[in-house]
Amino acid sequence: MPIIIIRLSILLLASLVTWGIVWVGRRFVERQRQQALAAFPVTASSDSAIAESHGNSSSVRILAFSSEDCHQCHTLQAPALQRVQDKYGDRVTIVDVDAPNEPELTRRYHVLTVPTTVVLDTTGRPHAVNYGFAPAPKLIAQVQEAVTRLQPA
Amino acid sequence: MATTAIQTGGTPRVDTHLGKFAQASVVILTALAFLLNQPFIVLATAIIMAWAAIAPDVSPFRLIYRGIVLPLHLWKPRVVEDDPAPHRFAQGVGAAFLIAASIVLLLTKAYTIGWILDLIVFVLAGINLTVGFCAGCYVYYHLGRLGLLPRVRYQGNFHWRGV
Repeated sequence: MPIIIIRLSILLLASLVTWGIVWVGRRFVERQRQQALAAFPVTASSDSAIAESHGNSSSVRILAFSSEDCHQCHTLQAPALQRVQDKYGDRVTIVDVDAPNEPELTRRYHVLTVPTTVVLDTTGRPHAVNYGFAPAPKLIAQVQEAVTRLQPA
Repeated sequence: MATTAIQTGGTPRVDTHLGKFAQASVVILTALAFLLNQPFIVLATAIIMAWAAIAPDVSPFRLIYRGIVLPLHLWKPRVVEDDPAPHRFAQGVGAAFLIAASIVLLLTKAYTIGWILDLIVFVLAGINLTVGFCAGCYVYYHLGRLGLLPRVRYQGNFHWRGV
């Protein structure tokens, strides 16, 4: 068999194995996200961290999971959330959650990494879960969807 | 593997299409080198990647992207909020692997080890190109967390594109 065919086979095999590992990883993350989206709606009284935020209870809430040593949360995620807040004012409440100190919330929303952002619609039901940094335009689109989804047509 | 920061309004920004272009080039070059059994292509790729890590503004990837890809409208820039530093570090890691591969392939007889190093770069650049997981950035964040990298702008965690 010519050597180039053997080399091509090795290359294809390496690509196939990698694709398989990536596929398993993505499926795992997707399943975690589906479980997070199926979480019970939060009410202000049922949750300490969320109740502490003095937000408008009929607003869309964004739970922003971060930790003290997560600089990506502070340098990228916080400014992006600020832009969302500036755009929507009191129609959006951003709740900062310190992930290491809120095991109950991180379990409920299957937080795999920080930053993680969870967009809750006005009824407190999870509308979107973003693992990793979510840019402002993405969050704005999700907030918009969460608002329009509940409005009567 | 995007490179230069585009600063607007305080948030660092990166042109992801430049990064994708660089990753695609690395995938093609490392695959070609292995297929055609050409260690000199590995060496050339190593030099280009090291160049991109050391001087991103004048790297061949950027010059070709700016000089050919954009003027011919083959691709439009896609600027997103991101920190360029981890991506630059990742290119440096890729360059280090390929320099090691070149040394092994050109100066020793341990060809298998040389080609394994080449294929590691092929696989990792391919993952970044297709799913957006940057393994070098992941290392960067964890080195920062362990305090091993002195000039860390932030530590955080990796993210999967679109996940």
